[in-house]
Amino acid sequence: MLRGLTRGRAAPLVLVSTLLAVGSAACAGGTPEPSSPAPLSTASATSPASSVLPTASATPREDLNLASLGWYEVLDVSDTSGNSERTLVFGSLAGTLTGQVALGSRHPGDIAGGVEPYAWQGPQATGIYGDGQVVVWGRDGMLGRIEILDVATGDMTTLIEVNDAVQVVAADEELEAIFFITVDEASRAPTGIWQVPAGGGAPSRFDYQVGRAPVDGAHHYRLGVSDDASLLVVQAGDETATVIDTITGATVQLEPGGPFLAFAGDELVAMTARDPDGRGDVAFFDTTSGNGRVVARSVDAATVLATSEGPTLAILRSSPGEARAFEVSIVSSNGGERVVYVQDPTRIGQLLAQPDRYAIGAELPLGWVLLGTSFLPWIDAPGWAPKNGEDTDPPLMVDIETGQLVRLGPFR
Amino acid sequence: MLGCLTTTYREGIPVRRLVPICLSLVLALGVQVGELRAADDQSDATFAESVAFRQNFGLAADPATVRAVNGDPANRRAEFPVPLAPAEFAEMSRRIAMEDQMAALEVASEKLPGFAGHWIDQPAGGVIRIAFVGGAERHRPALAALVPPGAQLALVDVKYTLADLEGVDARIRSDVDALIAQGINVGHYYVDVTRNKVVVGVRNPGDAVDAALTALYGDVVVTEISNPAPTGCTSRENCIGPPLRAGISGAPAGTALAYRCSIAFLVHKNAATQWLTAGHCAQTVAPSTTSPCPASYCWYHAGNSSWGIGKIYGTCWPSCNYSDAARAGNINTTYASHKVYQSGNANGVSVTVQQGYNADDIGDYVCLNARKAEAWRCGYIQSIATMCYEGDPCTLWFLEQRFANYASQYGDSGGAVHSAIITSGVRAYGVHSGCTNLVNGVCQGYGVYSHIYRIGQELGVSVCTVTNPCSGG
Repeated sequence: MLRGLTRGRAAPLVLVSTLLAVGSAACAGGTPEPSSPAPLSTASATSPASSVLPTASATPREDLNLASLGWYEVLDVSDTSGNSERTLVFGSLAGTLTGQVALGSRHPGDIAGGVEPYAWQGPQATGIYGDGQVVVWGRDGMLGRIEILDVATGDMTTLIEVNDAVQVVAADEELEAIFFITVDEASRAPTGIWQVPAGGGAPSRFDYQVGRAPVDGAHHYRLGVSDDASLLVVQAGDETATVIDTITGATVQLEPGGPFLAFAGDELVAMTARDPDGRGDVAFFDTTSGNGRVVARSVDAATVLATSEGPTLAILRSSPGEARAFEVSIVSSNGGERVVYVQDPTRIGQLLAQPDRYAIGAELPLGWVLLGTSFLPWIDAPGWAPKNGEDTDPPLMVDIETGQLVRLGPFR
Repeated sequence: MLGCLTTTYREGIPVRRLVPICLSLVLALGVQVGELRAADDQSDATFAESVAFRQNFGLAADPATVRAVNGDPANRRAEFPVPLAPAEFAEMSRRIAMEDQMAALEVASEKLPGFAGHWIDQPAGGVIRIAFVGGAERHRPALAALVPPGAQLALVDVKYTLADLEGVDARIRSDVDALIAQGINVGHYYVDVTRNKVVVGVRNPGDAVDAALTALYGDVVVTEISNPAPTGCTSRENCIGPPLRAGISGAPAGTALAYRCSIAFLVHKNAATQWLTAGHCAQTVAPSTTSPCPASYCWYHAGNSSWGIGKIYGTCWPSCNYSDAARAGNINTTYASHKVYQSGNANGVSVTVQQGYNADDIGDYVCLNARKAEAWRCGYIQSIATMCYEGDPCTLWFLEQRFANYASQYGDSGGAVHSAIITSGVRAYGVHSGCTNLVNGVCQGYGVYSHIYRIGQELGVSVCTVTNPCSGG
């Protein structure tokens, strides 16, 4: 059993968060090579906190208009003949499948000597930004093209075309600035980190030189942007995360041990190294000093939500003893936890959406969290076959303040 | 399907001599066992297979007839694994239709006093036999109207009711450890309604053992030899153990070598110990815990009818979202383990932990432990995506499959995917499903496996590990 978890009810959860102090953070502002990351070390514990699950019978919010809220997903499907297709599907949370866009395909002959074609790197889409917009790259083999899709209308506009191949793209919350990493198509070595206004214009290149190792199926980069576009983070796998000041070019090296999740204000939220069972801690890193502090221990998944009070951490913990049991909690900056969702262990629930892991996103109102790692089983439209078992819950939106649940789909 | 009923057995390591009574079993073997359809997935029946099939179903099996029927290409039909003459095809089709219409008869008979089991006597021509204690014929008026058209019903007088047999079976279950301690090396036990007996398989048969068992349980018990092949573990096709372990061969009884699957980790299912395999290998689920064997839901190590390893109790094929997996059992205390196969290691290697949700990533090192190679085959996760197994547009798929560049072949389906050895054991990662490009039985693309966390969710199981061991039962 999870600590404090009982069937159908949530008991107070207790968490001891540990403050991690980082030694002198080595900054390498504007230099082309990364500096050595500062090691994390354990310092002292902060006071524990606890809370209880809010009532699920709360009055629905009057301002919740699902038809105005978009979603998207990149479906990456392989078959038994060696063919793969990647398709961007999108619609509204009210249950519509507005459209789909073919991103690329791959066939057995495309894999030479076990090496994937370059175009088959990364998810090729990210979002949702601004007013329901998804950024798309590398569609139809146009490796240097970045486009913007409006999920409400299906309109797609080309933002920019560059000479090198685009490996990954990220943008600020309002889609005012877009950042991307390019790779030499022949050598697959990174060629630069760039910024371009969402409204168009010439891209500007950062001085910081992302690593030299060629990009391949198992080695590519994550890119993240703070809400105000003042900070950028780049990370290869679970390696060093480099935070770049987008104004000055100054850099800070962090080594969380696991993947970064997102910025929360001017802090970077990241997972630490995993335990043998795969669970890790979540830490907040000060991007100026490099100091880090663990706010949640031994979690399976985590994500950063937008709320009226600013970015907020949501975590998921599964139960080692009950295969289907898990709970989702909100974590305050001091490590206090409040359970907002408890899965009925007799049913198969939807897990916390992981934007860094699965190319899926939804345009959520402030203070809501998405449970669901794919919309595919609930797409009921020509060309798709819905497959949702009787004991499987559909994707859910959960209001972290009231506990209100909104079941999503089917999407037609 | 109860219409296939010949015997009931439960628990332990059940064994049953090869008597493919149920037509649905025979039909299943050609299409449900082995990895997903490969280009070379042909099921040419051998002469010996034809003879065996014909004997089991009461068809002419003399060499001249078999050669004549097999020699005519028109007699090869997709519905059956061996060629059949037109009249034989019609007869077998009649029996299939009969099986589909037996539910009412089965249900009614089970409610009558003295009920002792029902089965189809296929060698006798597909005769439906129902056994009762205390005068079977007295029930004919109640049952006659429920017999499927054209079918023959035979009522059989026996000494023990099914409840009696199952009661003894339950007693043996609780006694098995004590029996072994007394020197009676029980390998399996099951209820055989065709003989109206509880059969106990022992590795040290003899008059003394027979006498001891009769003294304990009466004449309802008979013995047979258990595990006649060498005990222990010498290869993936000969590794019943104990203990049972992941990475060895498994299939319904009599499955030819080419079409067997692999089995994966032993798991907790509530209080029972079960094991995993691929869902597409195990598409047919036992209707209940008392469902009879042999049938397509009854599995055996290496398809050897002396090495029963239980029934398929749950499958994800095709309805689950994330897992091409199935669970089966139950496994008794003698055979329960948290081990995986390692060539040359009679004890196997322990599973130390089950990987959690989100715990792996592209680039992680993973190893396939399955029957088509003695060694573990290792590689790196290349992507996490959806695998489509049927249709264009796709109608049968699984989300969040791991695509890894370890070597695999037809027949590896259901094998265990785990870490390399880390601190004296391996970490359970998943169950091997298939390949993105299978050419002539050899994977030319990526191996595909379902993640163990999702399997745990969808099948309601957790892996037996060093710290969370399975006790059997």
